[in-house]
Amino acid sequence: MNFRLSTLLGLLLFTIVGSAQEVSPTTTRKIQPTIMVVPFVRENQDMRNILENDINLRVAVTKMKEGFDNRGFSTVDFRAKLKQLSNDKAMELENQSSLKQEIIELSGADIYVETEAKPVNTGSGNSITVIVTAYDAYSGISLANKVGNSPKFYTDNYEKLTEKAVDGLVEDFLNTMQLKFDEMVENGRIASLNITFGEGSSMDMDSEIGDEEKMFSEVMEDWLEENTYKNYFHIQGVTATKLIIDELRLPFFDEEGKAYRPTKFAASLRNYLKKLGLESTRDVQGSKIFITIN
Amino acid sequence: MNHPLLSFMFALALLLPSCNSSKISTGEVNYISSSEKGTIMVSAAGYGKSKPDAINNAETSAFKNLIFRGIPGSQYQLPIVPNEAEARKQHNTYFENLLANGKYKSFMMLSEELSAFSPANKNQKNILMKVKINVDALRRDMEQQGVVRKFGL
Repeated sequence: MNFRLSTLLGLLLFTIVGSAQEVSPTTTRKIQPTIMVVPFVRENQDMRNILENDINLRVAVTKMKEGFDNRGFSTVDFRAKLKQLSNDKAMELENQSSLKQEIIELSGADIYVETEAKPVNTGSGNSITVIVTAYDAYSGISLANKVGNSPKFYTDNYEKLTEKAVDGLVEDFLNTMQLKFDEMVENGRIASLNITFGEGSSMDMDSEIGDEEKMFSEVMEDWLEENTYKNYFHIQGVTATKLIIDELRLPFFDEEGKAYRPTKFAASLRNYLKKLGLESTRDVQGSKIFITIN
Repeated sequence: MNHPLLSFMFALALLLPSCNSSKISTGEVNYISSSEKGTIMVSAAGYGKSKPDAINNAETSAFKNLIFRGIPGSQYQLPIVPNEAEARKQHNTYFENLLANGKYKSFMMLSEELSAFSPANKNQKNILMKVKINVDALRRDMEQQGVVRKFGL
């Protein structure tokens, strides 16, 4: 009787310990970065002409988009955005590469993936080299890079070679991007902050403030310590008129799981300044935050 | 008086099957090709006292290397699961079902002998298998079960 009981208890213990380690499936985050696959163009090149006349590039861009689709991730269509810009406006632009920047800005893409496809002709056969690079649209940080080559064939069917080249790299490319996403979720997104003073302001960074009579720059450091993700921020420099934080980390989601954008961080800082009796204005460009104290 | 000892031996007997040689996986998994999109073909060595044990060992080795190590030379050179220890701790049941209970077979498109079942050392024999895996379906299953994060943040 005792034997059965102790065995039963032993098995029950195993079951409890085993099940306690299980974690329920994680809930899917609703807020995702927007991604746009764009063709690579050199400075002063006409992007529209290149895309319309280079079938290999179009195949490469489409195959890359397909790679994202296969992972259940929709991308912003570059050609649709290109069409949205009026012909007149595109023609007016002197520097064609700025058109790309404009499209990226108009699309609101957080990440853009630059794609290049280059035919390589040799005596032992033809192949295609594809180069893809993913960039954070705001900080310019490179998220993933891959170069892929198709096998060599005695063929002029470069479209098929392009497909093979992209097929050979897209999974590895997406997996590298995912590693970067995981790192971002773990360590927060990168932003920068500049705090300056308006012309009429009677304050500067050395002004003493509060009961402890700390310098304003020190008060700001204390606040940043408490309000950056994992208390991470790096001060590039501080002068009497300016405090530059070239890198700080912000969470992607707040405590309720809602998206936490740099604008929320700026609003939070402005509220704090208001409590100190200081009026300020803010300007947020992507992940660059500018605060001016009036 | 002997009851605690008996119960200990009984518990030990329950644990012993998990320590047999077919559970040991090696890194002898090499890339062959990815002729169809979303799939990978590898060669995998398997060890065991019997042929079915060795085949099972080769097949699970192929899956373990793809999931936890990555397959060099292929476009799956990064592992599907970046942190094996953490994933095994958090999703123990999933991996038990997948690897020990044979769910992996539903993602295996081909399993063919490349070599005869022959002695590897004093205690066991080995076999070399060609294994084709539906990686896209495996990844999707792991995403649906929350074992790996879906693409994105």
